[in-house]
This record gives sequence, C-alpha cells and structure tokens, in this order.
Amino acid sequence: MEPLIQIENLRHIYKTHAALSGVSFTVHRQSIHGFVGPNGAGKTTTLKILSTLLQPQSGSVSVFGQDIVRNRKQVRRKIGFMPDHFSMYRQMTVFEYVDFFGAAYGLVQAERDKVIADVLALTDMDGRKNDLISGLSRGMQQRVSLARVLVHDPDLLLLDEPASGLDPRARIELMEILEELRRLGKTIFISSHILSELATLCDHVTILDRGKVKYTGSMSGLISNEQSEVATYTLILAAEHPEAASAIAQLPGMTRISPPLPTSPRYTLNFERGKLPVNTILQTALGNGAQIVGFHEEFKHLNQAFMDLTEPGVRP
Amino acid sequence: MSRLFPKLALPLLARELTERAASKRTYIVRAIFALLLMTAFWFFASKIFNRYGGGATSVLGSGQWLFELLVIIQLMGIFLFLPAMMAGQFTIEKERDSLGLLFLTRLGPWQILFEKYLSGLIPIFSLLLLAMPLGAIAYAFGGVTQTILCHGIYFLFLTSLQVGALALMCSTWCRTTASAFIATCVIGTILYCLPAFIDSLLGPLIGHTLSAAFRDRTIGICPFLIAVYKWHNVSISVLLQQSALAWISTVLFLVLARCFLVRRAFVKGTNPVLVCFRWLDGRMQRLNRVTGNIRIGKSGGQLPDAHPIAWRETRKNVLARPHYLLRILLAVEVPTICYGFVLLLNWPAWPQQSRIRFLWFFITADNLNADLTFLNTLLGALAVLVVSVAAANAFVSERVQQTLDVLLTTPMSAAQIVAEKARAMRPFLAVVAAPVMTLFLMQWNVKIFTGYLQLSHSGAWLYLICSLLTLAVYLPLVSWLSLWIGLKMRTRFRAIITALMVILIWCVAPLLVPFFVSDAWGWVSYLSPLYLPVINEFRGIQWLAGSFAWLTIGLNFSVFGAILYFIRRRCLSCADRYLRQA
Repeated sequence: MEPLIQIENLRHIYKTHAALSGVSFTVHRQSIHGFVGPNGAGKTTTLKILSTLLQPQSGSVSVFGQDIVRNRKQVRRKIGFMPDHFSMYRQMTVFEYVDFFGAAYGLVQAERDKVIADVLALTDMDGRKNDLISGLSRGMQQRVSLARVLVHDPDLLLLDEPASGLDPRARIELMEILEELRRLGKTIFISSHILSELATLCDHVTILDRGKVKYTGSMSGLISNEQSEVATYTLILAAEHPEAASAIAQLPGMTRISPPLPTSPRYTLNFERGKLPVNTILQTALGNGAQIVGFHEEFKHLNQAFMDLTEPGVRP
Repeated sequence: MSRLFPKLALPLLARELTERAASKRTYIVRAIFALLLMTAFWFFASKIFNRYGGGATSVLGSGQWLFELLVIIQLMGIFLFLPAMMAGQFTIEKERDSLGLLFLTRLGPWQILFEKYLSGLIPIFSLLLLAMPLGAIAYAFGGVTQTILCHGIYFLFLTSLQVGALALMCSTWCRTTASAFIATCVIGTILYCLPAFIDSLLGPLIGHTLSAAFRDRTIGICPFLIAVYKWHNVSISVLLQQSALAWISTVLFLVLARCFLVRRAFVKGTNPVLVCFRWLDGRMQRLNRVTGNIRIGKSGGQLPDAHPIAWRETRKNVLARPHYLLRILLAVEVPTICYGFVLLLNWPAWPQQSRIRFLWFFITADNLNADLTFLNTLLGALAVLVVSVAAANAFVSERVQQTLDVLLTTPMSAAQIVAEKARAMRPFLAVVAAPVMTLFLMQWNVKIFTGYLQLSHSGAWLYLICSLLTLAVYLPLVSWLSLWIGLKMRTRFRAIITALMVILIWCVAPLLVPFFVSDAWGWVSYLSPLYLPVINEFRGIQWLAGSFAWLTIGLNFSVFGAILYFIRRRCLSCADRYLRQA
C-alpha cells in the first residue's frame, strides 16, 4: 500500500524532557491506523507535529509526500485534525461553527452550503444545525467536531482521543462513523486509550512508550502469535471425549492440553508450531471418534500485547 | 498546637502560605513592591527636603510629613497589589475544580472564608512591614507623635481589611480570576468616587454642595480619604466614628462573600453584559411589535468568504456586535453629553472646585475646566482599561477555550489570524473613543469662548488637533501593545495584569526621571505617551514649545505612530512563533 505519512527518526524535547526519541513509522493510504501508548508516551506531541502545530526539532515528517515544514499550507488543506479536547465556540450554532471553519479553509459560499449539508448528514447533526453548541451534549459536540474536521473534505484525519469521555452509545456511534469514513476512502490516524475498540476498528497500529516506537505494523501481526514458536489453539468438541484428548496430548510437539471447562467441552492446546501440523491434531481427534464443533487459533488481546510491549512505571 | 487545639490547625491557611512560599512570583512581587516603595519615598522625601531649604537642621521635625507620606504611598500600594493578590483566592479553586473538594472536608464555609482571607492578608502585611526601615527614618527626623503613629497603622490595617474583603467577595461571585479582578477595580472605584461625584453633580444642579457633615460621613467609606483629610488632631474614638462606614462595608463584603461562596461555587461562566443585553433584546422585540418590526441592521448576517475570524468576532462577541456596541455607546455617550452640558451651562458659577483636588496631587495648574478634565481623564482611563483588557484577552480566550489549535491547523496564516482579530477591534475602539472625543470637543469649545489660559485661536486648534491625535494614535497603540502581550501569555489574569502594568509603567516612569535625576533630563518625559496630552490639557502646547508647538505635536505623534507600526509589524511577523508556543 502507498504510504501517506512517513515519519523518520523524529525527535522532540520539551526543555529537559525528551518527548520523542527517534520515532519512525509509516501510515498507509486508506487505512485506519491506531496510535496507542501510556500517558506521556508522546502521542499528542506526534499528532501536533503531524497537524503542523509543532515543528519537528529533528527528523523528517512527510504527509502526502510533502514535507510538513516546507509545505505546511498545502498539507493543512489535506488534513483534518481533531484535538483531544473540544475546541468549540460555544456561542455559535452548529451550522455557523462548521460554516466558519469552511470559510477558514477557503471554501466559497456555494461550496460550503453543499458540503455542510453533507457532513451534517453524515454525522447525523442535520436536525440540530440551528442549536447553540453550548446546549449540546458531549457526544453531540464530538459529532460537531467531526463535522468540522470533514468540512474541507480532507484525505487524512488525525484524531486525538476522539472517544474519550463519551458514553458507550456515543462511542459506538462514533466508531460507526469512522468505519463509514474509511469506506469513503479516508485515511484515519487515531490515538486512543480504548484498546478494545481500536482492535476491531484498526488495520494497523503503532505502540509508543516513553517516546520510542515499541511496535508498528498490522493489527493482526500484533495480536496473533505468528512469530511465536508455541501456537495456542482452541478445540471445541460436541461432548467431552477423554480418549481423543489423551491421544492428542501424546502427539509429538504437543506441550500442553488444558482440561475442558466444566460447562463446555472446550480444550486449549499449546504445541510447537514447527513440529506439529494442525491437520494431525484434527485427524487424531476424528480418528478417536470425537465430533469437532470448532477449531481456531487463539489470538492475544490487544490489551495483553500492549502490556507486554510497554514498561510499567510513571512517565515524566 | 494543632494536636492540642484541633480548631486552630488552619490547614487551608497553612497550605496557601506554603504554596505562596514555594512560588517565585511571591518574591518577585515583594521585590517590586519594595523597589516602588523606596523609590517613591526617596522621590517625595527629596521634594519635601527641598521645600524645607535643604539644610540638615532645617529638616528636623519633618518626620511627621515623611511618615504621613509613607502611609499614603503604602495605601496606594495596597490598592495596586491587594486586589490582584486576593481576587484569585476562590476563582483559582473554581478554575481548577477543587472548590467542591474543600466543601467535602470538615472545614465549614466560614472557616474556609477566613482562612482564605487571612492567607491573602498575611502577604500584604508582610509587604507593609517592608516599610519599617523607612518608618524608622521618618521617626528619626522627629515630629511623629504616638497618635500619628497609631493613626497611620490604623489606616493601613483598615484599608487592607476593606480592599481584601471586597476582592474576596468578588472572588466568590465571579467564575474567573480576571473577572474578579476587574469587578474589584470597578466596584472599588464606584464606591470611593461616588460621594465625590454626587457632590460634583449636586453643585450645578441644586446650587450648593453636600453638607460638611454628610461629606465627612461619606468620605468615611474610604480610609484613604480620611488619611488625606482627617489625619491631624483627631482622637481615636472620633476616627473610629468617621471610619464606621469602612468597617460596615468590610463586614458586609465578608457576609456577602459567605453567601456567594456556596451558592456560586459551581456556576458556569456567564457574561453579565451578555445577560443584560439578552434581557434587553427580549424587551426590545416585544416593543418592536408595536412599531411593526422595524429592524436596524442584521443581527447575524451571512458569513463572508473572506475574513471569517473578523466576522465571528464582530457577530458573536458580546463587545463587538453592532447593536450591542450601539447600546454601549448610548449608555456612555448620553450621560456624558448631559453631564458636560450641565457643567457648560453653569460654567461661570463654578470656577475652582476643591472637591476633586485630592485626585490631583501633582498638578498645580489653574484649572478652570477642571470638571470636564476630570471626567475626560476618567473616561480616558476607562477607555484605556477596557481596550487593554479586550485586546489582551483576544488570544488568551482562544487558548483558554482551546480553540486556538484547530484555528492554527487551517490554511490561514498566524499573521492573518492576528490581523483579523485586530480588525475586529476597530468598531469597539471607535465606540470607546466617542465619549472622550465629545468631551475634547466640549473643552475646545470652552477654550475658544472663554479664552482659557489666554489661548489664541491657533492655540485652541492646537488643543483640538493634539486631542484628536491622542485618540487616533494612542488607542490603537494600547490595543496593539495589549494584543502583543496577550499573544505571549497563557492565562487571562496574567495577560491583563501584565498589559495594564506595562502601560502604567510606560506612562509614569519617564515622567519621574527628570525629578529624580535633574531637569536636564526633561526630554525623557517625552517618552511617556501621557506627557503631551497632559500638557495639552492643563497648560497648552504653546506653553511648552512656544512657536514650535505644531512641530512638537507632529514629532510626538510621529514617534508614537512609529512605535505603533513597529508593534503591529512585530505582532504580525512573529505571530506564528507566539501562537505556536507550547
């Protein structure tokens, strides 16, 4: 896939504290790229640099193949940035707010009228367009914020903690809007602490800790055990079958088979990936008369991957 | 102590004082106060010594003068520093959402109030103690009786209590420190100036001023005025009687502070001007039905393709909407014109007014149109205050609302954003300038027809041109300077205080240099923006520059115009750096 954001050896220091120490990663076009890390890891600094609010002190950052320092104005036209706080003019109506930013992005009146109708429909705010922002709920304000980000039709959305502080319904609805945006061809770079939602939403992820990249790549690569020598699978039988379980346990390369749960005949198998093909396991179970209901590889949860990659302790 | 008497533990006071002790600002404020105090004392003491003839023995016994002077300087210091120190006592807790946590502790509202009050007063008392060595010098010269000493301490103590209580009350009422500070200044000014104003108005209207007894009582609201007028030969009991109003007002402020403390602890920030205008809008709309819905101008208007920020500022900002500006203009201009005409119509009957003399310590000019000048100075100072506050707040409010980041990610350049903000200030500047200009025109009229200060016809024109240029150059200068300071600051309170302090120092410091050094340094006075307008007002430019009057005016305003241009250019060229600073 074509890279949209390329960050090479990015460093940024606030007085004596190094916020970013040689960060490098790539975001591909039309992907949803998750950006996770503990508090103080350097996520917001990276997002501020990408959105041209901060200048990188060293390293290179290019968006759409353009350097963000030299081509700042061109880059700004193509990105939409949503910071981790509501940036609202509370005395404006929803329409006026979005219209104001449309004008700030240089859209003429006719263009604005059309686009605003579209983005308010997309964010389901068209029924509230004449309401004052001060009277909107948090979830509604986040939708208005998203409408503001979309008003100039950017190709890249930079979202910093868009779901923080939202109730479950508002969060789920926001994720649905982001899915819809991906379908419309937008590239989304999203920073969040809600890992469960990122795991289902993102196809790529970068984990940052103490200003350093701990992982960058596909989400499936992070949560699967492909690199691990020991594979973990779940075998679900129609009924408990001790003979089949015993036969599987004696296969060469099988390291552990957990006893079935009291409520369901579900076995967890750990075996050496190189020595024992999965077909052999299935053949052994069937050969012993067991009826297989399910068989799948166990993935790590993103939470677990995150905990494995990041270090404990308080960040500066 | 806290174990033996748990009630005397005063945990909040201990925390506040520990926080203050750990802050660099405490020591900076202390150093500035000491510097100002000693400089002012030296300056005025040298003037008094000169008056006594300069000899070592001739100054013996002048300690009383020096001591009284020291007390008055310290009273001014209290007015200058205490509102700023006390206004944030509760608003800071509100801004960081920690006031609710205080209510959850075992501390009751009265205890919270008094601990906060004490924690604001103790630092100001420590500042007042800095004057002890100077007091000792005054005492050494002789003439300071025990009564005078007690009176001095009493004035300082009472003023601190009163001003502190007022600022604390505003702090419990307001949502932000900046609004609490401004409210303190406004209420304090009204409180202290109201008796003088009533007195000043009654004269022309009913033919005589207030009775002496009534004036004595109303003056009692301000310990500073008692200190100026009633220092000598008054026993403590009489002094207590005369200052009863000050004590009552102090207690009242504290009681009100207690009432507001809980009721207004969690209120959302509301703009009282906006609330008032919305109420008026409702009334106007009802009335408008009778007149067949006549509308002057549009309230909203469509957003133009260019200058969106200027549009937002002028349509959505309370102090910039055209119909609201018109109301502000009418609210200030109509009383100004009425008051001016009352004075003009009664002019020959009112030559010299002693009632406002207390405001003019340094000016000895024969002041035939003192009332107009007084009003003009008051409105001018008010104009500078509101313009400075509005301009300093222009970008800090974007930072506080956290809207600056998204604005900076648009393709608009930082310079463009600054320019549009400044452009939106123009109608406001015009409204603020209008009443001052009205008074200038009235005074010009007076000068032409009364031959004031033996001004020639060209002298009157000089006065008018100089006055108009003062408005045309200085108001934008104040606006851009405050905007510049606001660009660099992160909090409203700091931006407003810094802007006002810079303006004050710029206006006053150059005027003091010739007094301190020598008359040969008189040219330094020209560096103060205040110098030429003050001369113009009280003596006439011809008194200062003779036949070079036009040249002097031209040069003065060219220099300040150039400074305005430089500040404007600096704001625009460095806007990106200022706005992006973390």
